[in-house]
Amino acid sequence: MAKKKTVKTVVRYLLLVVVLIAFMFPIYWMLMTSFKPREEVMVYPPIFVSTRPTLDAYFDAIRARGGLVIQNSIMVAIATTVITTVLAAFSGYSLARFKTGGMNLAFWILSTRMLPPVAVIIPLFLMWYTLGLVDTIPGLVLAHFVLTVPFAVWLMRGFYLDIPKELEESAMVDGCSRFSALLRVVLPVAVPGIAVTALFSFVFSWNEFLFAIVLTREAATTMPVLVAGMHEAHGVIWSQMAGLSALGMAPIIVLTVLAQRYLVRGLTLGAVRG
Amino acid sequence: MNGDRRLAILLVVPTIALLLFIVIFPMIYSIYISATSFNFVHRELTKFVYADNFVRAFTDMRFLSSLRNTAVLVGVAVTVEFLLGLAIALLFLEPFKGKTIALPLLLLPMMITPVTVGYMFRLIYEVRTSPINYLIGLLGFNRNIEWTTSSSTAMLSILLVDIWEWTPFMMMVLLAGIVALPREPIEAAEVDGASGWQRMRWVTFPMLKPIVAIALLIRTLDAFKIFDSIFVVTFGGPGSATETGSFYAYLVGFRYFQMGYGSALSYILLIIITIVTTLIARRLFE
Repeated sequence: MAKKKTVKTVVRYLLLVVVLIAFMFPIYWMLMTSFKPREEVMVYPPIFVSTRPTLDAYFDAIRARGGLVIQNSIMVAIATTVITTVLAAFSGYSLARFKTGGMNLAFWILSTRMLPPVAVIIPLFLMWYTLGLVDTIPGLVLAHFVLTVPFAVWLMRGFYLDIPKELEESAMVDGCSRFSALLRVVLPVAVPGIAVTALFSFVFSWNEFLFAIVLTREAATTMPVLVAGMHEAHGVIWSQMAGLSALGMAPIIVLTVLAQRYLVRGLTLGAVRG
Repeated sequence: MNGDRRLAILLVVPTIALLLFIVIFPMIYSIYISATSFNFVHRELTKFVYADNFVRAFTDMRFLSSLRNTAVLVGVAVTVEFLLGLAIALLFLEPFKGKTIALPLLLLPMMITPVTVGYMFRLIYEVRTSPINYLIGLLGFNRNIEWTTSSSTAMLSILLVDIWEWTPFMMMVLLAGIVALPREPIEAAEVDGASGWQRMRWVTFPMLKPIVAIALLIRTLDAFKIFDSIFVVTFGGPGSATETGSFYAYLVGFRYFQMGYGSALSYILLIIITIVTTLIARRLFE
């Protein structure tokens, strides 16, 4: 009996190791590539651990357009995040507390999250073209709201529903108006929810590709567009792209670690409490 | 009370106005574009063609095959992700050393920029230098697998990317669901002498159904929109072997500049996704 249990434990650990290797290898391989000197990148047999690590790929990436696109990605993601979060913090409260528009409005907002982006990209492009917003940072930010705002409003609504009504009611008894109760009493309590909403908005905007490739040309290009276009000039620039990809992954890793407790809840639109 | 009413509306108006401008107006505008022959390069030749673009879609073999590709991708990817995710979730159920490190690591695939994920797999699939092909060679098999450029493996290449990205999501959702289940029914079944598998099959799974429904629904919707990894890994090729609905609509609109026809295709996709969602939701949540 005891022996059977040991065998089971060993098998279980073996399976866990296989799972982790399978899911970590692509990330490891890309990071390893980013630290290899150029002549070790595309060779046979492949080099699994470089003996001559260097940061050349990163410098190459930044010197080529990498510096500009990372800067654009940061600006677009921060602007998208700040505005989305403010809008969601207010309208989410209204939907949660006053049931504004009833469930119809709430579900309509949710359904726009389900919309395939390709369904709006042609009219958006033509509108942006007419308004002179193509290849501008504000133009891309405005387009990213299509993805972030419905999601953020829905998420904030869920977080407010978790906060007891009595909180602002007692503040109002003490003479606060409803709006100042929201600002002074409810928002501070909702800070974790606001942080999660902001974080998801940032990641969505940072990762977004379809709008970015259609709505930008040169000046407002973001990181994913450059990574996707890596085979444009003279064959694929593998080494440089590893550097750029690794740079682009840095904020994602930080945010994932910070928000791990809330990721499942966020990704299932609040349906599953992680 | 009246003040509350006004505040309620003031708080949502900016969001609604924004969504009207960036979602609703474009959707209506798109109906108009889809009824014309609008080509971005030859704008002056635009004519009103009524439903011609929609009729054309159903005789466009390339569009129909892109729909078939989408169906295959969604069907296979979501099924594999669910089964594999469930297996890994069960593996993670009991505590083990290093669990607090393993869990956040498994969150990375779904958070990393999809285009970057595509690049990571391109790096692995590159035929001459592929580490996977190298290992296959060490085992004594043919190591010249042309993952992305051969029509027999291109779809598999895309599937592997999607499975790698989203199996951990399924796993996390199912794990969260299982952990949150009430203990009593499971313990009661144990007392009654049910085996481990019987407890799973007759007690845990039925209670898990709502969570499974949500996970499957979200994954189906997102898999349906698959675009980024196709763009990077195969660009729809070889030929049009891995073109999906979204990808083909993009090509038509922004590589061939036939925006009238592209709008019609996008609308058809939207209608299909709405029907599929409704059907799945009705089946799963009944």
